[in-house]
Amino acid sequence: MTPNLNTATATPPKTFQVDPTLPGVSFLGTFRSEFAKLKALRTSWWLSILTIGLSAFIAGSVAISYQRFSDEFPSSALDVAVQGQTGSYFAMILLGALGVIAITTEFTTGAIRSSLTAVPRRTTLLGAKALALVAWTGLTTAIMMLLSHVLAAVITDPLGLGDIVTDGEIALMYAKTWLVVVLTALLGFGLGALLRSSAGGIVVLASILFVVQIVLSILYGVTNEAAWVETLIKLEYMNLVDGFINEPSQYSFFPALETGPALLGLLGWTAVPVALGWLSFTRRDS
Amino acid sequence: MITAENLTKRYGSKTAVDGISFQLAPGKVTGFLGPNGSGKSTTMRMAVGLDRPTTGSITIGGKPFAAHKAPLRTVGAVLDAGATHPGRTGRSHLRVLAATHGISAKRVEEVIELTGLGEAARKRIKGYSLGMNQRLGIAAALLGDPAVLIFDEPVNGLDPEGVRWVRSMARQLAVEGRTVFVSSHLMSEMSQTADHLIVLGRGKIIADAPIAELLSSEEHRVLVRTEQTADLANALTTSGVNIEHLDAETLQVTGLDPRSIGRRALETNIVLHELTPQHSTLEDQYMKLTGDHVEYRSGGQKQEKQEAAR
Repeated sequence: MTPNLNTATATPPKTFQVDPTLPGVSFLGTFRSEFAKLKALRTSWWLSILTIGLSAFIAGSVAISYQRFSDEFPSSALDVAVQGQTGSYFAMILLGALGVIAITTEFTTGAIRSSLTAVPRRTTLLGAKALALVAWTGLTTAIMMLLSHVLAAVITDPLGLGDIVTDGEIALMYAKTWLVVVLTALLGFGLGALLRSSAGGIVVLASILFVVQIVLSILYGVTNEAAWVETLIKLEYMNLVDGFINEPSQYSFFPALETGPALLGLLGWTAVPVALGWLSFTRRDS
Repeated sequence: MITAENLTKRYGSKTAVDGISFQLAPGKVTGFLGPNGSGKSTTMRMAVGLDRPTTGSITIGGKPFAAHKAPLRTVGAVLDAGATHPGRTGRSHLRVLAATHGISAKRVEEVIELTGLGEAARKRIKGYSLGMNQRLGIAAALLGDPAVLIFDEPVNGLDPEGVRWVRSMARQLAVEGRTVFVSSHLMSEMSQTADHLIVLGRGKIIADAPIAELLSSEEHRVLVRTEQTADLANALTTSGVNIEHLDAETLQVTGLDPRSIGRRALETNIVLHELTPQHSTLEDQYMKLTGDHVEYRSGGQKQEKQEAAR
């Protein structure tokens, strides 16, 4: 007779082990992911095509007008190159809006929950997102500027195709313009991270680019050119842009800072919303 | 392993999760059950770092979720079927997530097949039904082949075939030794999926036990049919036994098991036509447990307001 004994031994429950040699989350991987998101966003393409198309149209129009009146108003190659890049002002608002949307679309669609489940280190995610935006807007701006330069060079006499590399002044002006457009996209990105609203971010950005200057101009006249208004005008975003790219004495109607201080001012304008956006992004619930 | 210690989340004056502590072991499906607004989703969101606990902590394998080297390989979470960009295709959504961890395109195709997304993976997510969104969420959760799975109401919007698939998948994942944490407000769903239940009511844990234990805690009820109800009632009357006359030939006996009732009937020569143990359902137990912890009732009024109006 079999003894009535329970010979079964308790087996501990199996525990699934993740292979530790498999790759984990990386900044490069997150950057690739964020760049792919921008590529998959229709708005990115529309805003970028609009930026390039509009700037090329403006460059062509300005060049044709210049060529028609070149005998009456002769200009240097640098002047023509500056005029040829007028479209960069439109690029600032269009790519700035893309900067806003690049981050707010995560919140408005709820996709941020998926993104943070894959990359819970928020500084890594925000940094990769910002870098992807810089890569996208930097590339778009470069294409826009190159096309505008080619059109202006082909249509007008003073500006040559090769001046983009052989003329130091023109090359520097182009580099500054490129930097301003990319910084403006980052300014929009910071506003988006802070406000988490596409409409809110774009309205604030448009106000910074277009409204503040008008208000300060009126105030400058009303206060009989008061010193404190003059200080505000010097620190106003678009005035800093003019001071940085064009040298204040030539193109500015109002007192402006020199190139170096203007660059610092622009970096400050970008850094403040980006830093506040980072604080909000890393502290607030998603 | 998921461990919550004195976990609390407050939104202003409202306490969504109120000092809960629990531990989930691998190899089991743990159901997270509770009425709407009881704090289930908030707890799960805190587990993956989307919300920050007001006090206390919730860790995965002893570490906060964000401290893991490979979050997607550690936890797969389906927290919200709509947590996607509607303009992307299902495949592009999965590829974007996979890129963060260097997960191959082959694995993306595998989870597309596994979840039955198939051809729909080529379409933009804005055209997806709720069920397809759930499948995409589950595909994303499985992408990293993780050790812990957190599913918040995973069967919402799924068709019957999809519901069965989610159930069997949750069971299979647990059998493989993974920690599976599934929330639902549907008791029937949990009874078919979970091994262990944590019942939440108004942000507090009101039960944390294996399903079998929750069911066995109910007293035996036995339905008895006989033409001699009065005689049987007399024969069974002892202390601790409650007899309820349901109709002329039917009694419901509480406090005695069916064998004892049958034996007593034989001893007193009473003919029985039916002797049926009445099992308490999980739903009965759930209603008993959460009866006082339901925050929102039909009619849209808060319970406090209803009570105040009485």
